[in-house]
Amino acid sequence: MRNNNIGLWFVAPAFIAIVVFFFGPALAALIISFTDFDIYALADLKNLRFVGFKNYIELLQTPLFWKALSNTLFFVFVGGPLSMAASLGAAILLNSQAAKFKNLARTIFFAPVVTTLVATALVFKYLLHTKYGFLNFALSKFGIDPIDWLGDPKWAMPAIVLFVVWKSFGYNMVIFIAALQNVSSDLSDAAKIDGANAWQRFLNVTLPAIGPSILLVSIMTMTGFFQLFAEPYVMTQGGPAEQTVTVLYMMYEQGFKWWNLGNASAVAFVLFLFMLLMTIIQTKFASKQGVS
Amino acid sequence: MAKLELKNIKKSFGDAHILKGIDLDINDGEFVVFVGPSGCGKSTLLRLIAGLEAPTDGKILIDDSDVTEKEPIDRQIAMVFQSYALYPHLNVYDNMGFALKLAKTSSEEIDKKVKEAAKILNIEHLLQRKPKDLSGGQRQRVAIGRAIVRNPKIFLFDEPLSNLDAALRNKMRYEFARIGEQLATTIIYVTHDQVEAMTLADKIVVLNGGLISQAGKPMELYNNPQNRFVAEFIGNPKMNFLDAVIENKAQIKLFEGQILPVSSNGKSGAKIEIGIRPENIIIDDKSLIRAHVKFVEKHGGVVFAYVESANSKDTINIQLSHDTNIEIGQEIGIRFDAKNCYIFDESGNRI
Repeated sequence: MRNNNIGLWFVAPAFIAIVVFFFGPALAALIISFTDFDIYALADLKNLRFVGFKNYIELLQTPLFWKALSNTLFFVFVGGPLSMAASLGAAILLNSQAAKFKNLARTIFFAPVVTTLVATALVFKYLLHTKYGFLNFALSKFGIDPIDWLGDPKWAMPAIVLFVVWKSFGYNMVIFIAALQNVSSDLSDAAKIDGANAWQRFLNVTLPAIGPSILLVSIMTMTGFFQLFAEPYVMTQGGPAEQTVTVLYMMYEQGFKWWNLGNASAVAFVLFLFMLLMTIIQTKFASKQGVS
Repeated sequence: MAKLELKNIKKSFGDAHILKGIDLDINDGEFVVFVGPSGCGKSTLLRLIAGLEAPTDGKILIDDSDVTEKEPIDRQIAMVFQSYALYPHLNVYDNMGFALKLAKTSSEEIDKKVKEAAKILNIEHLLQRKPKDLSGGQRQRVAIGRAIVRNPKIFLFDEPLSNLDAALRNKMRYEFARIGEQLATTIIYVTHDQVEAMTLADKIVVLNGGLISQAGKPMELYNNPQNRFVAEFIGNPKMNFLDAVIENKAQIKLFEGQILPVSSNGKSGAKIEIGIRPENIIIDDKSLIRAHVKFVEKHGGVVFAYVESANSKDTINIQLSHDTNIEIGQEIGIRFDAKNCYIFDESGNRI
């Protein structure tokens, strides 16, 4: 017992910090989501009323919420796999023995991760510019007419996906490189002797070996992508035609544009539930594949 | 079953010349052991035979057909790795059937072959387990099983017993001998342990510094080593070496001045080393070669005495019967018969 008590003292500082700065605000937000906390309540707490599930019910009846949810899901299910594929592809290329200038390539691929989001988003705005953008200039060389990337409702979200994949794949690439370097070369050799070609070796040796990393990266990517906000905020302000309004963007507008903090908290919790559900599905799928 | 020929095999990694010209014939059904210290190139040679590496120069022939450029699968070889290299996400059954599955063998055929191999190796009860749930010895058997099911022309084993503890190693060594007999196929086995080499091999190939030092039957190497390296490497405990000078054709002179009637065909005055195995040294207090006992190891059935003499750089190891009375610090005389001496010139060649 004595020893256990001493242990508690060591854990206490971190534990207290987590409770105060993590569970506390989360619990407060949960409570706020059941109130009509708005700018009047900020002025005087007497104006605060408990409204039960009203915020949630209203939210589910708001067309913009469904629009934002479908935009977000598009981003998660198109951008997420694309980002992971880019990370894994780059990692495999950089891990191959034939690769030259590995360190340089790694640095170049990782650089976007550490650059400022707003600055790079602005650069991309120019790259994607209808008249002067490099992308349209390059496409024109192939005889493709200019596309209004950020102004065309059809192209605005794909353009943001492109930007986010470019900005984020380097981080996961580093995780994948670390995982690939741990794949036993004996296993790969054994598979060669057993007659497996490069693709069969990838499926039967590499993929199972890096399974835990893939699970980690997929959960991190998914949760990160669900929280898309800054990119549309900087590049499109949710437009055109609300095509780039995401759930988090909607929460921001509700909370800090209209000061409906009760509504905003409800949005946050619905988003949280989606992310929780997706994480559970991913973990279940992974454990079925034998990844622990 | 197959015969294998290596013709002037060379392998370099950049400036590192690992193999410097290996010529070797391995006969059909032979159990050949490559043995040598770490870095001698024995594992590289095995990987070249397997097709996991390409030689820088030279040719590899299996049953007279040139396989130097061929993929591992086209050489009909199977290999067991030191780390076992079992696929961790597959159970024992699927591990053993993996190669057959890739070769699009029917599932009935796979089932038959896997169960057959499992029976030979006594692992029938483990087929549904994952590698992580197996002991070292069991994993070893599965790795061998994976090789057996493919019915290869040549088996390659890369230090298969190194990861096992001493007791299990002895047991598996016996198992290997049994499996080797049962399979009656060509086996190439790499090890750094000369005991494994002596006990398992039909033919031992001693490698040193990327060249074959000597190849031959185990007792041939033991009784008739061609150079100091083989003499020292083969035999446990190791051969003892004493400094000496050739006096004339019929005599040599030890460092302390004793003359021994050992004939040799070297030049008079040439510096040499004489090698004597521990079991060939006799304690004889009348002998002029004096030594101090530094350490005594009682193994039960046999006693080893480590003694120091002015003639040798290292301590001399003497094998004695278990009832010998010998104490640390005692001064003794030692002698040995001229017929048991091996003589090596300064460059280590037997003369």
